[in-house]
Amino acid sequence: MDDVMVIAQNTASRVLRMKALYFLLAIVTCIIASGQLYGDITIGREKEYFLDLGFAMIMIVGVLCALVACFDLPRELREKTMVAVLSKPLGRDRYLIGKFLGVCEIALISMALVGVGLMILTAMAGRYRPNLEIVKALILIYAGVVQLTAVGVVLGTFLKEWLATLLTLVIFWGSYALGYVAANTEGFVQTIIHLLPNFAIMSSDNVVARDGVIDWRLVGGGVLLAGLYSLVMLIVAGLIFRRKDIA
Amino acid sequence: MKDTITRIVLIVVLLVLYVGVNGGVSDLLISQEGMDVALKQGKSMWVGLGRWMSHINWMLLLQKRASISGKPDPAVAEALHRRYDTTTDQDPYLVLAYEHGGVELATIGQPKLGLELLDKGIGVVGETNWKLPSYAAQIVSQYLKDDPDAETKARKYLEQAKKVRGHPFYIESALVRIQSKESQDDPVAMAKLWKEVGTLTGADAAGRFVPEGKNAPELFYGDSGERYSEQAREKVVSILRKVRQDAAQAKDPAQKETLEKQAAEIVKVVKTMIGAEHVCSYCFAEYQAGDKFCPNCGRDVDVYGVCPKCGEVLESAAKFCSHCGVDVSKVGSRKKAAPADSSPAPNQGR
Repeated sequence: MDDVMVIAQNTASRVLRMKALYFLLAIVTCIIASGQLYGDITIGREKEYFLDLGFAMIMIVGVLCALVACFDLPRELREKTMVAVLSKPLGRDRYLIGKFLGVCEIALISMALVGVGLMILTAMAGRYRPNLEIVKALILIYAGVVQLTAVGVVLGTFLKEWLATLLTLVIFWGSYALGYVAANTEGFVQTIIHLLPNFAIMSSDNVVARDGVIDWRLVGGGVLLAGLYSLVMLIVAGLIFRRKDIA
Repeated sequence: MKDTITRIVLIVVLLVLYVGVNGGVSDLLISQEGMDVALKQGKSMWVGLGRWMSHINWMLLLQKRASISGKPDPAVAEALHRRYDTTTDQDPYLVLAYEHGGVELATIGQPKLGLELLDKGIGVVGETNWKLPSYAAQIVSQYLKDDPDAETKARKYLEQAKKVRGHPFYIESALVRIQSKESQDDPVAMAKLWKEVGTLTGADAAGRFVPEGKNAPELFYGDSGERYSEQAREKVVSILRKVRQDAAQAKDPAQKETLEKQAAEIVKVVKTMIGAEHVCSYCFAEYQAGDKFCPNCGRDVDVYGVCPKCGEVLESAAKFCSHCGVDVSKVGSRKKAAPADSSPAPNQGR
């Protein structure tokens, strides 16, 4: 297990060393902070505006982090850097799991940083208090990001960077939209839609903006979904990756 | 090969499990109060950014509206409608956009577009928002009155607004205005109309009607449990007063008789709208045990709940008078009621 964690740590630390990431996070936090200035324009809806802006920014950060998987794997394949790693007695599955966990770690740290920023800004606004519901919504957004990362890992094993990124974004958009359609379908079509990653769980921030309470079962279900889907995707990625000629 | 088969079997098993969990999570998501209505309507291309984008669109809308004065070119009005439409697609719960957009489009010469927007809003929040159907009714009555179905449409919107908790009384008034065109000269028909219109149907899930807002109708229960707005009851009582007044002043005996019959009919209507047992036969205000005169109009009322011997007010369900000890169950405690239509004038200066 240690070797998996080493790969995960290396993947994460390489990205976390990039100044561009912190620049992005700072920009995002500034954009969220600017939401405070629009209070008058929104005619009494500043809380909704502020939280929606915050959650949208956190989701964008999470999605951008998930796309690292699309870039990192093809890059290492192209630059043959993974040959050195895989020449050691390390299974290809473990390498993929390590990469997946590393990208998840990047997303977690980045989203947590912006999330803490959102909480602090919420507290500073004085009009409303940071609460547990914000944390629940963040967990569900993260669960969506984890699923997207797993999709990125699968596509990254056999596609070029740009194609894997594009396809991951298309799958994100398509699955998200289809997740909304699922409620109006039934039978076979609904089952097919339910086979796709469920990104609609990321919409639970709507509940928070309207002072609602997110059901804990939804949070648990979202986390379970992310775990199950990631497992399936990693096994699929393993099946593809083991047939790839790396040398 | 064996390893590959094992993996494929594992994928299938996990996917079956995933589909089951995903179905449960999707159901939970839809049942979540406050969740994006687009999830229920099955239309969202905004990948979770819809509400945020709607905020941006809303602010752009406010800027655009500020630049419009008077009646703009139809193309400008249509562009404005498209912007409202997109904004409410992105956030279907943006009630302000329906309210402002519907009225604004109607006032700048595009009532049909305004109505379209309001209909869209009614489809989303019509069960909880009385303003949207009431605005729609106003637009139909004011701007689309040439439409042969205008009256029916306006009535339908007002009926819908009346079902919403906390709606103001002018919804009922507007309904009566529409429905009373043929019965304006018939006080009995008007009284019945007010009773019908004044029936409150805005009960919540638990069956309770909770009036809200400063203009909300007062809660009032009829004799068989229906809820009526107090304003509607007042309207019926005022019709009764007018008929009684006319009857008292009528010199033609035939006319007097007709008016008295009408008054008797209206009394029946009022009585069905009143759940209280002891009410003044003239103004229909409720009074308490021991009251000799109506606390509202000052007329004599049928006294109840007093000892027939000493006249002290009895405690409820008392078998004996606590003041003189007489057995009230044997003697009886009520005075004879005065006839409803023959109440004397108010007792001034008592």
